Amino acid sequence: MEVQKPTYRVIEGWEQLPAGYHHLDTVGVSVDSQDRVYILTRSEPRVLVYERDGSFITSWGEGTFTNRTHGLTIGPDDSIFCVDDGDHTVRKFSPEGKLLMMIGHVGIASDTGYDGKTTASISRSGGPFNRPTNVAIAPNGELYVADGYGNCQVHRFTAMGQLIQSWGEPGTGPGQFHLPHGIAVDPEGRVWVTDRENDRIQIFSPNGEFLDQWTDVQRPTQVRIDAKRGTVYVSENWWRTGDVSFVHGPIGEHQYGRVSIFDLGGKVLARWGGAGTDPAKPGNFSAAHDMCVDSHGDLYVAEVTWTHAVQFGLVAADCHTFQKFARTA
Amino acid sequence: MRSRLYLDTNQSFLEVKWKAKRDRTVKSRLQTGSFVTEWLPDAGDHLDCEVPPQVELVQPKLLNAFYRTTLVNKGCAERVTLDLGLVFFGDGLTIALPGIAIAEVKQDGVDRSSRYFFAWAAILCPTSVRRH
Repeated sequence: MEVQKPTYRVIEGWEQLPAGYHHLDTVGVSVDSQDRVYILTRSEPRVLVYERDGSFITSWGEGTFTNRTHGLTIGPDDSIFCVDDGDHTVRKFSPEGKLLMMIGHVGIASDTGYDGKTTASISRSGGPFNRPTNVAIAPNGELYVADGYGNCQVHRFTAMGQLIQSWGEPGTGPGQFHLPHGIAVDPEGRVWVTDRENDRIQIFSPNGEFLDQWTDVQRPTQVRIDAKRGTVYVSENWWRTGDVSFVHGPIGEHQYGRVSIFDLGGKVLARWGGAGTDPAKPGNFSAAHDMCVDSHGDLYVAEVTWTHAVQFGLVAADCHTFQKFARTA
Repeated sequence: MRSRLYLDTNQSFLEVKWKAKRDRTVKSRLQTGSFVTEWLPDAGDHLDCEVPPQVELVQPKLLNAFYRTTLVNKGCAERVTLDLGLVFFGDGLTIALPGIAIAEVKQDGVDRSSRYFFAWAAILCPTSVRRH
């Protein structure tokens, strides 16, 4: 099918935080069935909820998470899944923030050889979890978890949280990972995994058979699939000068955060940000970490600007950490 | 008290466990037509135990699910159960513990010389040997 190339304009000042509220990084974003926007932050309160015009609705999640919140995905019943790599858990909440389910033992990590600093230290795959990053919900309700900073596996669970299977091992070959970070399941049940430090997206059958990989991506953090429009959205992180990609080796020049939009065949439809841009300029990206699209086609992008850039003096403290893009065509 | 459903055979039981002499756990159970969540009026007639007073007021408090593997020692009356895929449900909350296993030795009496106790001690209390 022929897919239209989308265009967008950034809406500056979209997020209308109430007085007294403040956040630094935003790590995850999803929209519910009513186009309400749920943002997961690394500040209290952790979850902020907005209307699509940016007006504030509510917040929740105080005292629930560590300061390493990582991913947020909304299920077809508008339940909210949050992943916390700081305590090795996946939590499911009602839209109002009532805890419904937790997968994982708080504070207990699987044994993978991970030294707590670099994914290169992971010598073997482990069970759930060691710093998991994101969760995706399959059409049949099963859950797939990308795991993560301290592991190299994808775990498949029943909707109730019982482990069905796991796959993955450290490496750069098919079915191997260096930081499975983002994850999505398309309507056919195929599992898309952003293999962040290997600069690729791997695509698997529902039971973990390797099917394909896309390599025209830059340190991909998350992948979202809009089956209705036939598009695939990828948020891409900043490769800083001196960082080392497992695939491309040492990075020479800064490759700033980026967003790419593909058709389902892997053809680039739109791409902005990246090398040669000003990452702090509204509309560009410092460290794009997650994104989602609402029913109107508008795009929301969460960034870990502080973790990745501000603390190293690479951008100013007032650099954006969350942006909305209105679709113009 | 508990109600139990075996998914592989689709058999259900209502069970009552109690402590007997020498801290032994004894169980009596009644096969039921389905997974029940309340006391059956005539259950006491079929269970080999003393039914507690006001037993009809009992309510479900905790639901759990797991995959069980049972190992049987052919040399003595001993079984080992390994429960994996643990999920607990209660008060509207589900807790899944995918990285946790519950291992239990079931013996006719208590025999601490079982090899399982030694094996698990080695696994659960790992230690390194230092020369100095």
